[in-house]
Amino acid sequence: MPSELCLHQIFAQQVALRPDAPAVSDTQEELTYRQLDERASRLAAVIQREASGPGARVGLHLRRGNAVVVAILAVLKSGCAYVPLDPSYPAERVQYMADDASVDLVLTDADGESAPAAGRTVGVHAGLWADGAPLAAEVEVTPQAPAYVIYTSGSSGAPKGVEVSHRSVTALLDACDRVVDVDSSDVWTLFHSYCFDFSVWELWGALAHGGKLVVVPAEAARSPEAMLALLRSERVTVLNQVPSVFRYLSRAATDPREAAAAHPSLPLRYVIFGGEAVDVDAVREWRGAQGTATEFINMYGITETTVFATYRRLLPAEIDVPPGTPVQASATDPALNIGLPLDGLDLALLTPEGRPAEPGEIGEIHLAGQQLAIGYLNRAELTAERYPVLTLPGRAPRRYYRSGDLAVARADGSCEFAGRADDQVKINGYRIEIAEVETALRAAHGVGDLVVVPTTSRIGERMLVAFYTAPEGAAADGLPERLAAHARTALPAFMVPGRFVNVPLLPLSPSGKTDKRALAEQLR
Amino acid sequence: MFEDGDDRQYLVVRNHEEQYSIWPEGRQPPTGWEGVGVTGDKPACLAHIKETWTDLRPLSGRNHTGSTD
Repeated sequence: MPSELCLHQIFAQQVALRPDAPAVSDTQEELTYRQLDERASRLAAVIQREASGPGARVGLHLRRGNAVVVAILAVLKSGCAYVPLDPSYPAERVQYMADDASVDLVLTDADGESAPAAGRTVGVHAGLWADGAPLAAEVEVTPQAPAYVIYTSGSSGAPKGVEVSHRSVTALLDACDRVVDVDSSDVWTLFHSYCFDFSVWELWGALAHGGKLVVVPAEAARSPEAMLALLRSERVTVLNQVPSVFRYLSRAATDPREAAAAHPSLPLRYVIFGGEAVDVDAVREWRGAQGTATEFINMYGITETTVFATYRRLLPAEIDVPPGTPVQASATDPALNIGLPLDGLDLALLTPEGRPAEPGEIGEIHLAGQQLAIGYLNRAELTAERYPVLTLPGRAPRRYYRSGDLAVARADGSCEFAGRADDQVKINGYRIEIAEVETALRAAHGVGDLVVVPTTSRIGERMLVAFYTAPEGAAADGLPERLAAHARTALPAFMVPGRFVNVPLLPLSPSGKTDKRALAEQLR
Repeated sequence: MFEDGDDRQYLVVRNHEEQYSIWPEGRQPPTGWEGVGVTGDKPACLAHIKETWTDLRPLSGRNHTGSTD
């Protein structure tokens, strides 16, 4: 049964249990549970004074640091919901989100001019939580009340806010307790932007268990070498990563200089993947260099159903083998298998006719349970459309979230991710899965990293463009020719990209995924 | 289930938490949900929901302490 407590009440339990244990550190300053609680309560008093009341939405426009964690707790303590407005996102998008969510108040650490315009703006500084500042009054909040609104990109072009309750997050935490065995001795990183709901899991995974949360400084989040050093110095035990970012971390961890330094092995207990298909070779390389003590878990999820929906542990037979080892025909693909639904979530794979997919068939992932978000903020029609009520054979009628993600049903009940229902590329009438093209091209000799982006040429022709990097220190001479030749041998003609573009680095979006839009812009 | 561009008729349904959805007309509404007396094609039903469903929070989550507007 999900907890009947709100998130800030779960935090309060930990404050009572271990007031002097470390709660959060941004490597500049470390706060105990008691100190974090006091700061949050003093900031909550400011919110109570400035916002219209419980139920209001409060924008957070704060740079990475402990203040983000203080502010999230403060907003929840005051009975409000937070709306992340990460200043590293483009200003125009930040303003759009502030307007769309009609935030009552923005907490910012920026100068007046660069802060988004909102009803009221409060500059966040240490004075707000100085000794003697008043503490917040206790507010009654139900677990069904919204805790945050996180924006996701919309297929219609405009981002849409997903409104999530306390109860959905506590349901996630309860379900994940059966997947990862964590306690107060664990050290987690807050690696991801608080605009990305991966951060919700990172933050509450640590604080709900009495663990310590290390807010990764921006410089370390951008540099795999610095991140590796942070994992070592902070003795991090739980790391959450998007696979394309982990790929660079794995490269840094397997660098010969790293081996030469003969560091003791990292105390990492879990690496948890989310957001993309797993780069299995990057995991294999990591384990070859760092040992096999760390458990690797692949999680699949969507903001609309609160961070994670399914989980799968990567097996030794998949990851304790040399990089490049092919998947046996009889086995599942560890890159794509997203495993089983979390406890409490009902997952239905539905065929286009609306019946559950048989093993081997493709279906669209539908999810029901307490992790379902309240809906899309101020978008009732989109909410009704994306959250249909379904009556499935042998199950009571329920409200499901229709994900748009496709998966193949496996005989063991697991799901193998099979792309997007609506992100299909058609060229010359052929359906193309971009991931298939990428997988084929990444196998070409001498390629660093590579992504494929569908574009439309000046004369209106749909085409694929491959963006690639050369391995560090290697020249890209002759590489485009080799890639094209490899593509022609590995893929049918209609899947061969029309252009191969060398880039120094594949850009990442603020949420940490490869930014294909930025790459496509380079062609204009 | 509800493909875009289909020409089926739907009815607008609501549950005890005052959440709205659409349901193919002519079929018994699912247990726990009832029609609100509006039928039409999908865009018409969604337009009605847009007008009517102004507080998306489930009824049990609309605490007495505040509104989101």
